[in-house]
Amino acid sequence: MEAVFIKKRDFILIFMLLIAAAVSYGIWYFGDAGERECVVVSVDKEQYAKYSLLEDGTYTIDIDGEYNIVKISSGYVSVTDASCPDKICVHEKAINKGGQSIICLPNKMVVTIVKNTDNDEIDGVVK
Amino acid sequence: MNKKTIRVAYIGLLSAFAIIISYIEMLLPIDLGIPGVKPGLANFVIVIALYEFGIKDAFLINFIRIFVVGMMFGNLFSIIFSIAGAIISLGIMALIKSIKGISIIGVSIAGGVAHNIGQLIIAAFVVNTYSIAYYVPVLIVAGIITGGLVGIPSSALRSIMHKMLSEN
Repeated sequence: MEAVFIKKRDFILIFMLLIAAAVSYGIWYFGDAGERECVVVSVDKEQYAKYSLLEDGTYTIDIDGEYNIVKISSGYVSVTDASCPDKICVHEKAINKGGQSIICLPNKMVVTIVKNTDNDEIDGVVK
Repeated sequence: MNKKTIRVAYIGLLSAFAIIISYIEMLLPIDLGIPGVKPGLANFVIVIALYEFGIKDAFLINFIRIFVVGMMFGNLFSIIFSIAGAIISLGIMALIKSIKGISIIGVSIAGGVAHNIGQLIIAAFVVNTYSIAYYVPVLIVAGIITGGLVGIPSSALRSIMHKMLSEN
């Protein structure tokens, strides 16, 4: 058996995957990205709260004994602390564009930046 | 020795190897710049097992690794999540392997990408959101890099293994 090293079809595969990455980036960029002003927090598939991206603030998301602390500061959203074991959500970079989200899987919590589609009162806690 | 004994011995050996690699990966502060993305160096063993012993044994080895590592350092949640990723990744790798002209490096890259996308899809179901589509391009590129990192030494090890076996 000859020394197997990278073959032509491997490059074709890599190229196809890169195209898929570019296409999915395009879908996000021309779809959700752009000016957005609303931060939606959902817990276990239900909307928990809605905040304005334009107003700074720190909010504690209380999830049956577990918690995530969401901070909104000059248009950026981040999770500053959480009770989950892996802390992946805390290590996520701050988000500032539409369609971006920070997810905490153990707590089933999602913070997403969205367009304010309906006339819901911002800052109103829906729970 | 009969074939069954050899198979059991190899599965034990490779499982231990995969567990050690997973443990070393935990000790090394490897930061790929994306939270939650790990190099998945244990896939090195799984790819080799897939080539040398087939999909069933590769899955068994991976299952043992995930179970043992999960019991020692993780939790039930991380075990279920890892097993789902492993099934998707191994299925795609077996599929890509059947295509002629694709080397172990391509198979490993496909496995890395499939693992990432698979876990993302499961995450989407858990939290019920579409907004994670934003992660797709990042995870594809991360999968190509980590898959390549695993595939190149796998390719090298396999050619060394075959050379040694043919010399004896």
